[in-house]
Amino acid sequence: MLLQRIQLQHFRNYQELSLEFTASLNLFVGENAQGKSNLLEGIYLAALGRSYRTTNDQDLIQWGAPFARVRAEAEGEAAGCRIEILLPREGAKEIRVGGQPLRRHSDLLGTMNAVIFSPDDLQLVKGAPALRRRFLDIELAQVSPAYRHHFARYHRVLRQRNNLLKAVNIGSAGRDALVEWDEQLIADGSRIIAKRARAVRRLAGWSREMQRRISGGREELDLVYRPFFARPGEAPGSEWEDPEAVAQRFREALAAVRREEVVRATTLVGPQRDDIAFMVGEIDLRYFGSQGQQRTAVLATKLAELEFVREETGEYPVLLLDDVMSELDDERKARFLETVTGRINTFITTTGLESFTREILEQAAVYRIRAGTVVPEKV
Amino acid sequence: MATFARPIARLIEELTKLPGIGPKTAQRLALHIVTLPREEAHALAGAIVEAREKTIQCSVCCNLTDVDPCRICTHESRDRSLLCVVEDPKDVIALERTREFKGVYHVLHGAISPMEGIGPQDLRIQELLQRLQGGEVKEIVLATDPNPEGEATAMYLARLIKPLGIRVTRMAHGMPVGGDLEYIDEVTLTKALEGRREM
Repeated sequence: MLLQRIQLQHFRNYQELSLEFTASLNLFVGENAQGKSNLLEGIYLAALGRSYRTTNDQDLIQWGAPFARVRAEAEGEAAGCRIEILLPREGAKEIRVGGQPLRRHSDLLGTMNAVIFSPDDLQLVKGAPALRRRFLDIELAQVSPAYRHHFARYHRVLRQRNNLLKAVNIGSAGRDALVEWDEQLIADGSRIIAKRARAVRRLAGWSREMQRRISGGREELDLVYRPFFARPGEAPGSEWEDPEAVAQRFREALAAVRREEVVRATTLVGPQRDDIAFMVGEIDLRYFGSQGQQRTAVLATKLAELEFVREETGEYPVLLLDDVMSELDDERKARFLETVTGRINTFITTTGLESFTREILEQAAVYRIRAGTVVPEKV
Repeated sequence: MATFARPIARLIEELTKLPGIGPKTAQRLALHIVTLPREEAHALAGAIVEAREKTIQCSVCCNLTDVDPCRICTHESRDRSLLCVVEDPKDVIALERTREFKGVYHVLHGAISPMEGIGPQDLRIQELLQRLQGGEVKEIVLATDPNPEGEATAMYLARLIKPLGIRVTRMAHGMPVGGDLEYIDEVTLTKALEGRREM
């Protein structure tokens, strides 16, 4: 994917902005609080339909403005796309692709894929399991409409089932009323797990190679999917990628917690309890990795994500690096940029150009950002 | 701050209670209604009252009707051995529009939804079971919505009815007729593939 044009209207601190991109590598340079990240956020919004920095769309509308609008045009291998997101101060968000309004906003996913890498992502290895599930979910949602379908359905079934468990708990519903919800929980949940298992296996292959490259061959990284039913030390097997086999495990796990679920009035098993472990040899980096190791693992995983999206969709996604370069030492930074430059349409925010090599700068288009205005700059 | 005159405010309040009507729409409708010619306003009010007063539930199929039993239930050419179970009266209208279904209906008036506190006892399931005791029904088509609530309802009914020795079928998911394969969304296509049949 090559992002060719972005237009922002009343978006964050941008009154009106129209930018055309010609280079594959783009650097947004500026002091803090000038609007570098806002620009990246605008691109991300066009790709995913929502921000990675806030869950409240109202935050995105310029202060005092009645709406915010983001338009993006991108060129892909097969076809181009035109995306428009309208966020009114009052009323519902509107998403258009090629001028046509989308009935379901989730249908935007897959139109223009994007991968974000921000300082928050450095938590991926050591943070809570929910972060790692979210990472997987966003990836899979972009490349698989079936995943989006089962994911949305699963969470609806889960909510219904939790409500029912509360009713059973207080005696206003019978236990046998759970049967219909159990079946649906298992059906959608097993498909989610099978897709996750396959995705992590693919990511593991790529991230191992990336880790080798970044660490100079010193470390072997292994991403290990831990579905909720995995026994301690149980190695991932191909049966985890088979929805039927997973359904069997799910059914057993559900039966084993039945009594406790009623007492605690909530669902205790399912993909909402999955995790991924980042291993180097026998060491789980979440608990025993040095900060350097954790960062390298995140970097390798993000690079693996790019390869995964390409493998699934036939094209690299647009890569957005939000202020992440300052978090990496020179060697890691150089290896990272080497890997992406020239192949992947990349947008980087940075406070200065000092840390970029001449080689990189020669290939890059530089934009100077100051108080919501953007000026292309000759280097 | 200026507010609406009391009768208008009351109308807005009543309109806001309707499904799908927010405060803004209610305001617009109310202001429209109060400026209507007098007779049109009366006609609207009269229609609401009449519809409410004259609409009853069919004692056989539970569909909304003005005569009991309803016209479908008493129609002489309908096949009473084939019974289609739907969630809402509007589903009956949709199926009737096809002019292809020659059986009779049963309207549940909802679907199982623990979130909204709706259980099987809140649906017209007792009425359905009573109908089945006559022994006339040979097949039941479950045509509840394909969402989690509709599926749960269909599964519940299947579990209840199958032991009675009545054939239970579920509406198929599939491709829209006349649709080009390439324009159909992937999930519909996957479902259609799963439900494929021998030729």
